[in-house]
This record gives sequence, C-alpha cells and structure tokens, in this order.
Amino acid sequence: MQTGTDTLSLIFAALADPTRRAMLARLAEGPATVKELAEPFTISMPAISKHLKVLEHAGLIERGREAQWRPAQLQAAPLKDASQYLEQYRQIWEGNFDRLEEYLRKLQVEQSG
Amino acid sequence: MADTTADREIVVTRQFDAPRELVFAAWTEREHIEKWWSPKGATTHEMDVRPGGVWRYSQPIRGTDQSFKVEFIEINKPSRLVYDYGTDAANAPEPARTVVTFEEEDGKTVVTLQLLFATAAERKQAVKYGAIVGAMQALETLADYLAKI
Repeated sequence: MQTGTDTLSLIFAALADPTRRAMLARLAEGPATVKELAEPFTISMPAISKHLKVLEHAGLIERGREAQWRPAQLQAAPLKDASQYLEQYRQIWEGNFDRLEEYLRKLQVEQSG
Repeated sequence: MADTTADREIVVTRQFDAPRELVFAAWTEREHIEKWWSPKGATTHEMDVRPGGVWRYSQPIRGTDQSFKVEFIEINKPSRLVYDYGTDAANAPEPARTVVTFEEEDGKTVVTLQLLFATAAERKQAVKYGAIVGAMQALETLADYLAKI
C-alpha cells in the first residue's frame, strides 16, 4: 500500500467534511447505492455524487461497475491496517477509562458530601 | 494448531480509586454507564443485565446516531462481566467478545478489559466498522483544528 504525503492529504481532506464522514459511517455497515446514501441528507443527488467522488479519489471507497447506481463500498485499508485498528481500540478504551475515572471521582465526592 | 489470541485481542488495564461494588455498578447500571461510556453520552433503549439480556443504546458520532448492542453472557457481581459487543445493522461484523474483570486491591479496583475477536476473518470485517468509528473520533480533533487554521 502506498501512502505518500499526497495520499494522506487526500484522505484528510476527504475526512474533514462531516457529510462525507457520515457517509463513511453508513458504508461501514455495508455497501450502499447513491440513493441510499442520500437519504439522511437534505442535499441534492449531484452533491452526494460529488462527495462520493472525493471519497473514491482518496481511496476510501470503491464503486461497483454494474448498473447506473454503482453501489459504493468502504475501503478500510487506506485508513489503517489491522494492528493499527487494534491500537485505536486501545486508545478508545483508554479514553473510556479516563471518563470512568473522572465519573467515579465525582460520584464519591457527591456521596461523601 | 497453535491457538494464540494475541493477534486478535486487546487488553487494557486501569486502577480506579473506588470500591469494587461501585465500579461494577458503573458498568451495569443505566444511570451510571450512560455518563461515561462514550465521549458524548449514550442513550439507552433497553437494558437487561442478566445472561442473554441486552443493552441497546445509541451514541452520536459526528451528527449521526449510531446504534450498538451489548449482549450479556455472564454476570458475576462484582468480579466479572462477559458480553458481546456489536450492532444489529445488516452486514455488521461479528460481535467482539469482551471480558471485564474487577479485582479489589486495598480499597481500589483494578479493571482489566479483554476485547477478543472470534477469528481473523471476523476481525477483518470488524476492521471496516471499528476503523471508521475510531478514525472518526480521532479525526474529530483534527477536523476541528483544520477548521480553525
């Protein structure tokens, strides 16, 4: 996998937009057509297609060749490989533990006070 | 067959300055878990803490409500909790088995969380889902930063 600076810039630029991130979240559940991807948004189909092109250009999604609706599919590889993924889960849990720690502290202060 | 789980698990440990019963309650009681489970809070739709029972909840991730499901396998108050973590979504990856142990040490509690993916293939599926959730959380900071410069 090639991840030069340009590729990374494309990925970050693609991810910087909340609509595109929401589309990726939907695609994380499975492939979807343009119509399905457009459903939660109030923006036009051409705008959705434009977002899809940006995601495709960044290598974050792949689009089917068959039919005019060309279902889009998430490509996780550009984001990270499996070990990086596990590392992210660890970071998520470190964050969860931070919040739990803070919450328990607050709770005990309330109980003693 | 060499059956090592090292390549498909993560283990995270933390010592909490709180009694074990309280820490266990923080994991198994709705009013507690909603407060810390996700960065922006969680909304419970159903919570039934017993073997076979489920905790269904949603959490906002960048404007989109994502639904998750925790299915309880084993509840051994206040020392051990086993559950499967996943979603009901179509094409969702196989749920990840999570084992949480609570050990008491001088009035403090050591929590060890083991997150285990069933097979390498399932983990690969989970990568697609988890990667994006993780990446979105991590990139939120970056996006906010980028918006400012």
